[in-house]
Amino acid sequence: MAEQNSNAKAEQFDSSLFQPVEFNEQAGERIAGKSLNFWQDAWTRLRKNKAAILSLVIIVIIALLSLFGPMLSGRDAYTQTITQAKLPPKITGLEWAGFDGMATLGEKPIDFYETKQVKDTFWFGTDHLGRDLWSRIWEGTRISLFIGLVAAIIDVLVGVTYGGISAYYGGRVDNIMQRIAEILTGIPNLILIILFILILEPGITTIILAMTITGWIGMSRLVRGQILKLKNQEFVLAARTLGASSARLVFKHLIPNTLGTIIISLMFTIPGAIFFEAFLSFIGLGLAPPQPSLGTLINEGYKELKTFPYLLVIPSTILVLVMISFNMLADGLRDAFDPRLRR
Amino acid sequence: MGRYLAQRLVYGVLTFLLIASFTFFLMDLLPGSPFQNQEKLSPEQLDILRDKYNLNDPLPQRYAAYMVNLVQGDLGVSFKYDSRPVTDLIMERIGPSAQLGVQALVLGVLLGLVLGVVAALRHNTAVDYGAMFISVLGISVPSFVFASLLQYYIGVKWGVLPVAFWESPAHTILPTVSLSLGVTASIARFVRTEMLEVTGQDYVTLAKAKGLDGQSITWKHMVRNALIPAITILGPMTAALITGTFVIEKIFAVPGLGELFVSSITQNDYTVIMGTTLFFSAVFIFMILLVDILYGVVDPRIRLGGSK
Repeated sequence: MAEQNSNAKAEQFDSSLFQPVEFNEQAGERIAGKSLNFWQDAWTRLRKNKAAILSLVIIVIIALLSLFGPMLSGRDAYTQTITQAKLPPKITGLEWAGFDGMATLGEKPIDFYETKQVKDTFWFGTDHLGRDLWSRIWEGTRISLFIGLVAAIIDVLVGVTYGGISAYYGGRVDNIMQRIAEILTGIPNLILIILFILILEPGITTIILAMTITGWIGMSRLVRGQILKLKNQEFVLAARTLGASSARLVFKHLIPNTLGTIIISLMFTIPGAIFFEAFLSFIGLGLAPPQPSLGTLINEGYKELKTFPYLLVIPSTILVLVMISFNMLADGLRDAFDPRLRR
Repeated sequence: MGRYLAQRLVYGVLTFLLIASFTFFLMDLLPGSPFQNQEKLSPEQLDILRDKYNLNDPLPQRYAAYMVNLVQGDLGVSFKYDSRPVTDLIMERIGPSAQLGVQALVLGVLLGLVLGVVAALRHNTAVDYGAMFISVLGISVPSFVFASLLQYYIGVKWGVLPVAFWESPAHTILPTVSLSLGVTASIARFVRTEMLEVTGQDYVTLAKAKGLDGQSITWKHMVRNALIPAITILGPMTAALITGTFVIEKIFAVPGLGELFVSSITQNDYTVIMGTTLFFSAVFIFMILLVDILYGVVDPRIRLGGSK
C-alpha cells in the first residue's frame, strides 16, 4: 500500500523537471593548490619558522656589515695611531647603553677620550695599537665568514665526489674507499689540523686546507648513505633503461635528490669551520697579525680583559651571533627540507 | 662478536701506528728548533746537542728507533723539561685533565639529561623552547668565550670563585662548568629527540594502557630506551672534551695535558708534541672502539659486524 502511494506521488512530477547531473571526471581530479617544486615547498615551510628567518636576516646584516662596515666608519682596519690606543667604545646618543668612552682603571671610571684628548668618537673603541675596532671587527668577520664558507664548500665538493663515487660504483671500490675513510676518522682531526698548521705558514689558506683534510669525511658518509638508498629506486632504473650515461645518472638524478642533505650539512659545517678558526687563533695558531679574524680579536681582547672588557665582549658577541644564526638557520632548513625529521 | 672485536682491534692499532708515523714525519718538517738561543750556540755546540738527541741520524734510522721505543712504551725524553721522559710528564699531567674531563662529563650529562627530558615532556611549550634555546646557545658559544666571560665576571669582578690555578675543589668549578657547556647542549638535544621518538613506541602505549603512573613510564620505559643511542655521541664528545681542555686549561692555568700540548707546540718540544699527540689519539681510538662495543652490549638488537 505504501509503495503504491509513493509511486503515485512520484508520477505527479514531470520528468522534464529533472536534469541529470553532469559528472566531470576532470574536475574531480583538479589540483586546487599551486604545484610547488622542491625549492618552493621548502621555502614555504622555512618561511613559517620565525627563528630561522630571523637568523637569515641577522646573517645577511652581518655579511653586509662585514663588506661595508669599514667604509661606514671611514677608518682603515690596519692603520695604527698609538696616541689613540685603547679608547673604549663611544657612540654619541648611546652613552646610556655603555658606549660612553669610560673604562674602570683602578677604582673609578675614567673618560679615556678626555684624558687622551681625542675629539673623534670610535663606535667600538680602539685596540692596543690604536686601530679602529669597528673596522677591525668587520674586517675580521669577513675573513672568518670567508674561511667558514670556503672550508664548507671544499668539504662539500670533496665529500660529494668521494661519497658519490663510493656509493655509485659500490662493491670493491666502495669497500676500499670506506676502509680509507674509516682509518681517517680514527685520527683526532684537531691534532691533525694543529700539526698541519705548524708546518705550513700560518694564514687563511693553511687554515682552510687544514680544516678540509678530514672535514669532508662526514659529508661523504651522508652522501654515500643517500645515494645507496636512491640508486636502486625505480626512477634510476627507468633512466638507465632509457640509456642515460653514468655521468647523467649521477649529476641529473642522484645528486639533485641529495641536495637537501648536502645543503643542511653545508649550513652546519660553516659555523663549525668558523668556530675552529676562532679556536685555533685563540691558542695562537691562527692567522698571523696584523690580519684580524674574530678568533684573533677575541684572543687579543682576552689579554686586556681586566681593564678593557669591550675588546673581548664585542668580537665575542659577533662570533656568538654568527654561530647561533647559522645553527638556527641550519635547524630550520633541516625541518624545511625534510619535514619527517621535524620535532 | 669475537671476530669483529679482533678486526676492530687490528684497525685501531693500525690507525694508531699510521698516526704515529704520520706525526713523526710531520715533526721532521716542523720549522724552528727545539733548542733555545740557538743563534748563540756555536756550530760545534749545536752539533753536540743534536748528537745527544740523535737528531744527526738519518730520518729512516730515527723513525725505526722511535717506533721500536714506542712499542716498548718509551716516548723519548723532553727537550725542555730537563730531559725528563715524556711518559713521566704525561703521567704527571694526566690527573688534572682526567679529573676535569670526568667532572665536566658528569655535570654535562646530568644537566643535559634533565633539560632534554623536560623539553620532550613539555613538547612545544615555553619550557621546551627555553630548553632548546639554552642548547643552541651551548652549541654556538665557543667554550673559550664562555670560559673567559665566566672568569671575568665570577672570578675577577665578583670574586666569588678562584680566578685560576688548580689547588682546591673550588678551583675546579669554573673550568668544569666551562668545559661542560658543550656536553650539556649536545646531550640535551640528543635526549630530547630520542625521547620524542620513544614517545610514539608501542611499549610506551602498552605501559600507559597497563595503568602505570607517569613517573615510572618516563624514567623506566622512556628515558632508559632514549639513552641507548646517546652512547654513540660519547665518541665525538671525547674529541670535543679534548679540544676543550686545550683552551680551558690555558685560560684557567690548569697543569693538565692540554696545557702541556699547547705549550710544547710553541716551544718546538718535538718529543712532547709527539707523545701527547699519540696519547690523545690512543684515548680517542679507544673511546670509539668502546662506544661500538658498548652499543652492541647495551642494545642486543644491534648485531656487530653483520654476524647473523
